[in-house]
Amino acid sequence: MKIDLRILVFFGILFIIPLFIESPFILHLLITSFVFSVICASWDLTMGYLGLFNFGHLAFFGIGAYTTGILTKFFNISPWIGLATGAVIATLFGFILSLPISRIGASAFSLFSLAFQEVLFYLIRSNPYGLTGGAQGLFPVPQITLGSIEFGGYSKVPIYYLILIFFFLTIVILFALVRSRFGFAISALKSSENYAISRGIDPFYYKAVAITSSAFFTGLIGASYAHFLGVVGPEIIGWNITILSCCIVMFGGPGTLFGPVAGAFLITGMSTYLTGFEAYKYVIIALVMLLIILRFPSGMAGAISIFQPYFSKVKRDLYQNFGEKK
Amino acid sequence: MLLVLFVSGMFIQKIMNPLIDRDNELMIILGTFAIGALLENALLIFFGGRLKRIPTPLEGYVKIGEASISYHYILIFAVTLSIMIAITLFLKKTRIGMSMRAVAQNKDSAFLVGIPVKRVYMYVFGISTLLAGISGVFMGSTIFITPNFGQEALYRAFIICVIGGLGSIPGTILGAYLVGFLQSTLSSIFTMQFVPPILFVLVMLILLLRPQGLLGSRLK
Repeated sequence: MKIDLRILVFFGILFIIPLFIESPFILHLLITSFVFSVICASWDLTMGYLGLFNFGHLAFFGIGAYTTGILTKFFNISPWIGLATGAVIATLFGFILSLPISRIGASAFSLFSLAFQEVLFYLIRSNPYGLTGGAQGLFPVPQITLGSIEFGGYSKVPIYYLILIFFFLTIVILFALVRSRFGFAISALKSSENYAISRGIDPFYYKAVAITSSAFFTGLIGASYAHFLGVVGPEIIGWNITILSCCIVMFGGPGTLFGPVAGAFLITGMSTYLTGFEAYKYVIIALVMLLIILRFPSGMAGAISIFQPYFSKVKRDLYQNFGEKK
Repeated sequence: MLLVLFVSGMFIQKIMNPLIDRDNELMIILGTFAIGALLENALLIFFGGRLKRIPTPLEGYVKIGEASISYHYILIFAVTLSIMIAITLFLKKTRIGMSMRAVAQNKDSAFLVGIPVKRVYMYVFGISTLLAGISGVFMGSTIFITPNFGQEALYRAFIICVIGGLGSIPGTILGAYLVGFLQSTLSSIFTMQFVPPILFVLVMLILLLRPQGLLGSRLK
């Protein structure tokens, strides 16, 4: 498996950041960006590559978070097993959600997945058997421990590395996926479904695998997010977060994987640093978003690709100077 | 006020125009969400987040047996009924209405036979904004309003549209009555909290078994 050099450099920088910056604020901000990056990159697998609008993507996040929260809080199960179970249950739900895809069309599926998420949201909020904590949320979710290392508490460095590792694995695996036969198959299904089917691509199988694998990554990061914050509230699968993540994917550029990641960093940073402006914050974010979608239809990645000729010229000059061949 | 609503709807369409040209449904959805967030927070800035109440235009009520119905509800009923009839007639009989249905069926062929597709879009946005505004005024005088009380209405509209069927006004009316009826009966059987999940499960079942809704035309 070949890993792109740019990805390694990007994660290399993220790996050494805690050596220089110990401010919990910055680390918290970065961890939140990682979480949103994973959500949006895995959403991009279905939205950007497969072209299927799964409005219930955040439901997987909530399923992962609540599964591990309930298991560790009420049944005293080790958080590590909680993490794994959260991811597995989310994957299972991803598979269940993908079952009707053979039966209903794309628009009906996006409405279906939206309804699925809403059912989950209201069920969680209604606090069945006192398990989910209702509207106030489930707390405290115990922190992850490994020997004497506590992933949580005041020092954010251990949890930073844990979530960074999950983030890294997600991105590497997603890149491998979209560059494999599977990735080409789902891109083909997006561009022309009938032609793809006529070439022997099973639409149901590939769609189900795409949705299920995006559910796995989101569930895993949801579970670790629950342990990171120590509290899970129903608003994590609420309307606002769904719209925000969807906007991040659109804003970054769907179908690029790296676009949503960049968008997640930018939007998380922006919304944190604009907090002082109260309601103006959302006005500013909405305006920026409107501008991007109106001017650059394929998101930030599309905006960058306008400048691509300049980059490649610089690159060519560099290669010529150093006598390397591309 | 009606004119302002109509014009603002057309203005929103003008902003969205490049997106509609691109024919990318996701982007249109996202663009409308962005505009929605923008307007909601602008309202929050100008009017604050407090609960407000619009005074009702009509005071008093009539008593029919045990039940008492305020004049205001009767007014709402009369206005909505006449609007429904007017819209149905408008879509079925007038030139603009017919061209709207033509564009909904097939945009390209509508353009080929000489329907000004862009102008039709503008009218559609204007009219739908106008109708939403009117319903907002009536809702505002029955319950307390906040800048984001439209979200609740959006949910309900979503459920009603899917159950009743997209693109069918009789279906919408049927769906609205069904949802209202279910809501009050279910909340007396179960607790109030379990009503929304049951309604959304119903939406999922409808989408699975009858994607076009109860009375709707076929969904792509």
